[in-house]
Amino acid sequence: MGLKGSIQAAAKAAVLTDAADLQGLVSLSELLRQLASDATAEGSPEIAVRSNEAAELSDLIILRQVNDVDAAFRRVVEAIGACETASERADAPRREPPDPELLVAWIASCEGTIPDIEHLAVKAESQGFVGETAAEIRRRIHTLKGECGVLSLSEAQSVCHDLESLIDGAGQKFPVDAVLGVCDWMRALTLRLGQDAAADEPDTSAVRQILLAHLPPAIVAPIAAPIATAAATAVASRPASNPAPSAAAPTTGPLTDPFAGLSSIPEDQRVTMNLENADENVGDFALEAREHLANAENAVLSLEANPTDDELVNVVFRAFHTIKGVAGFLNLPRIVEVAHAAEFLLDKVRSHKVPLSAHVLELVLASSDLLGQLIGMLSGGEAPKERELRILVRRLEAACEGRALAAPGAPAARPMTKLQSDEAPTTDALASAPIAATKQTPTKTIATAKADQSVKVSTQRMDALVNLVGELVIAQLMVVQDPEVSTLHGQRVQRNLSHLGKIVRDLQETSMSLRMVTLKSTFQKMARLVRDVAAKAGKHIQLEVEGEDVELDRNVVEEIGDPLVHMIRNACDHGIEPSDERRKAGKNEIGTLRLRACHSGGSIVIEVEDDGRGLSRERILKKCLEKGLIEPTRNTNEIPDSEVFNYVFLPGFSTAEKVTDISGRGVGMDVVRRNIEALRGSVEIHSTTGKGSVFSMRLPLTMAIIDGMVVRVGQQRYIVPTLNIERSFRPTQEQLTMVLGKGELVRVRTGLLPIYRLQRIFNLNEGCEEITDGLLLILEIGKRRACVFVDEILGQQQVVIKNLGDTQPQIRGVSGGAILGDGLVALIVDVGGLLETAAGSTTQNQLI
Amino acid sequence: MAIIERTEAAAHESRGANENKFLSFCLGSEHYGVEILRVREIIGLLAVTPLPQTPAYVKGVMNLRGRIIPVIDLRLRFSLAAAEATKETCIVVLEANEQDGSQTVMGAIVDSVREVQDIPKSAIEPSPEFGCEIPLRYILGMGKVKDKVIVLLEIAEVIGMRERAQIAGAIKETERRAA
Repeated sequence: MGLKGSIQAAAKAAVLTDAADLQGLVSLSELLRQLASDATAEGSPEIAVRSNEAAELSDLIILRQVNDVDAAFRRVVEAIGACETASERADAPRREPPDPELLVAWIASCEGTIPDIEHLAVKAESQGFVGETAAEIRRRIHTLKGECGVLSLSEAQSVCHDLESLIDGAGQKFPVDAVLGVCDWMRALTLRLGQDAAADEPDTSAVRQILLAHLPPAIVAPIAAPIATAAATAVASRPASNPAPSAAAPTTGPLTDPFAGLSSIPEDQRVTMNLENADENVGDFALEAREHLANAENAVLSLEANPTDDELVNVVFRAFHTIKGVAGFLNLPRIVEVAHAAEFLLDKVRSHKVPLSAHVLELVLASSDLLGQLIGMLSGGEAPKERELRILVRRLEAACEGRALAAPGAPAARPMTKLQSDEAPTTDALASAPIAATKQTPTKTIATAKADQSVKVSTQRMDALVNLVGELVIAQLMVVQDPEVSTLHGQRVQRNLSHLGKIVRDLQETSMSLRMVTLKSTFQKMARLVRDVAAKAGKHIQLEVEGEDVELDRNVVEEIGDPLVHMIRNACDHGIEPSDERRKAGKNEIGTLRLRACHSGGSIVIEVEDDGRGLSRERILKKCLEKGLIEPTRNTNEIPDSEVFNYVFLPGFSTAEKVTDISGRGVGMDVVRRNIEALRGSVEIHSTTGKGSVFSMRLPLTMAIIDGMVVRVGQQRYIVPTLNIERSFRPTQEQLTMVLGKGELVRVRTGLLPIYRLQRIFNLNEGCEEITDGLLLILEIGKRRACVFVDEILGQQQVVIKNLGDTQPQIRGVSGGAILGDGLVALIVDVGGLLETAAGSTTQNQLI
Repeated sequence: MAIIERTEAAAHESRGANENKFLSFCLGSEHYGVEILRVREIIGLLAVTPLPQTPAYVKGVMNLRGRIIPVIDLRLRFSLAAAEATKETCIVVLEANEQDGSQTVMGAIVDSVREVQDIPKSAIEPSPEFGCEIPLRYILGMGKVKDKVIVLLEIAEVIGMRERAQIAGAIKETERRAA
């Protein structure tokens, strides 16, 4: 850390000064000497030598003892650059293979960049040296270098870096061959990383030779010389620098007061992030980072069960590492700060310098939460508290040294282990010193990014595409159903039309599938939830997940999060008993929660099953009687389970004896039912006392299409969701009854049902008046049943749901609109709202 | 990327050229105008699906090439007498940019569309304090063209957020009365 910091400081200083700026040079020289001593302390001889040399050189410039000050200054800058590369290269062997997704994206972008660079190079050659073109090439290569750095492609990064220096030093003679050579090499590299592990390994030494051949001797010398002496210097300088580590690690200092200085931060000060210069990639980053965090959390949870699995630690490490890298790339220092601290700790864990303890896992989860908040800021979320951030970083730092630092307020834990910091780095330094030996085989460390190739598309564009396809379907139907077209009898026309129809249907299916996502991320979040709730309630619960690959419409997946949270909380808090109670009941002490998703008859079923105590029928019935929900005269034994269990969905209904901070207020299940009904789904409970309970949600595959019955009232057509229609029939006069002041009723097999006239609810001045001339639909939603009177049924069809203009306020009884085959709009009836409105206004209507 | 920039530049250019252009239309004997940049298209009168519980001036919804948009009757909106549809009656599709970045698209039924006119800023006067049947906030100003005065409408007000809130309020009112 210290070393990298000094390199950066020197690099910054170098950018800000030039050969004429004496004061700048003096401070630069100081920085370089500081860097040299840091480097020797940390055992990086190469950096030490180069920075020393650069320092001396800058001194010479100050004293004007060189002939060409500008060239000399360029060499100073060069040397700092070399230090940067060297430090990165020293990091490289420890680095993890890059994230395959990033890699795939990068490879795809290279397909564009590399030919561009080639094109520019050729252009530069044919037109003679054109400054602007050269600058453009240099910029592109610089970007490429940065990208390679993010992806830990150290070899490629150093090649790019050398090429960059080459172009800088080339003056008027542009090294076209070198640029082209590097382009070829890069292309071979991407090819190898991308698709074909068997492709020839790009020959690094060849490309290096090309580069070297073009380097003017003035630049070659300082690069080549230090390498030879590096190892020797390292050994020589080692003993002298022994006292340094304690100074370089200030975190050991504040052992007495670990949070010294933090109390000066106001309690409510929030973290601030400068997002003014944030570029457009920030959105993508936030999205990716969330995925990484979710993966990390998941791995942490698995680690709890399986603490010896090093690969899991690697997964977590990689997630933080990638976030740090990209955040650094996008210049988001606060995110880098947290991610770095966590990464550092994980690195120690990975190399077994710090044991993996519950404390470490807790810190990692806390970091993940904080990062989540910081990332949330990018999309306008609330900022976390500054002090929290600082405290977390300090705790992470302390944990790196093996000290478990409790959050302030709690007593500090005792030191766990001592970190042996001296031996290991020495061997590292020697091993990494000769750069000639760092011939890396990229394939070993980098997982071949063969993963599903995918493209990130904005949801807006995708929705636009889905809408357009919807229109296409309608337009196609309009053509086919056109009376003029249907009179054409030519075989060719009919064949072509049916071919068109098939393509359109396929297209619609494909576009619908674009919206589908798996339940994986939702289920992963639940895993975290189970862990937290179980820990809070002091229970042992294991979660079994099944069917996380089931795909659902994106909108649906977003909406089921809340209901799932409530159901799982309930299951953990009320369903599953504490260990001793379980033991007494002869059950496994560890409770099991199953989260299952599967397809079933055109919809998706998601089940939350626990092996706890089950719902108590008696308690619910007692509560119902208390609240007057059940007639006291009713024989409670005859009420079916399904009805009893349904009462728990009522708002404010809770049988919990005490309200905990997790659940018990009787709000949760109401939320569950509301959300699920909003998704046009349903929820059911099955429960056996003492054995456990199952909550199953049935959800439609997509929100975009609805299966509906087209009905007519006068000139108007409406669509009634088939899901809500029990049946339809033409009533006879005998079945009808009129109750004065109450309304019309119809007798059906199960009893009497109220009749609501659609034309009256919707204030239409048209349509059938005589009930026996029209049709009655028995509609059902939840527990409410009623008949709705319409003129006739025109047919059943699947329609694409559209909102009534983004601007239209909610109208009770109407959930949206659909465009029918003739291009006209029909309203989709919201059965719940319709029945509610109708029940409210019946009295008035009937009295007229 | 480049294409987007180019179209944006083109849009910017055309914006400059069209800034002072207004589409004028008639409601009864009165002439009104809207900024041409706020007009998406003009279509003939077509079937509109009525919406229940909405105030009378909300005629319903219609299908604009696959998108469902609400349609209002400007005559009724401005408390003028309702009129029979003629051959000249048409729907002007208007759009307004909201403060929150969304866009409102709405159809407005007018008696007839006249022409697109250049009305320079200097020819626009602030609306009078009184003597007009339309609420003041709907009016951008009074445009003078030759010897005529055209009432220039503030589209964001006529179809925007505030208007929606009002429609929502009206719906609630109907519901309350029904109950």
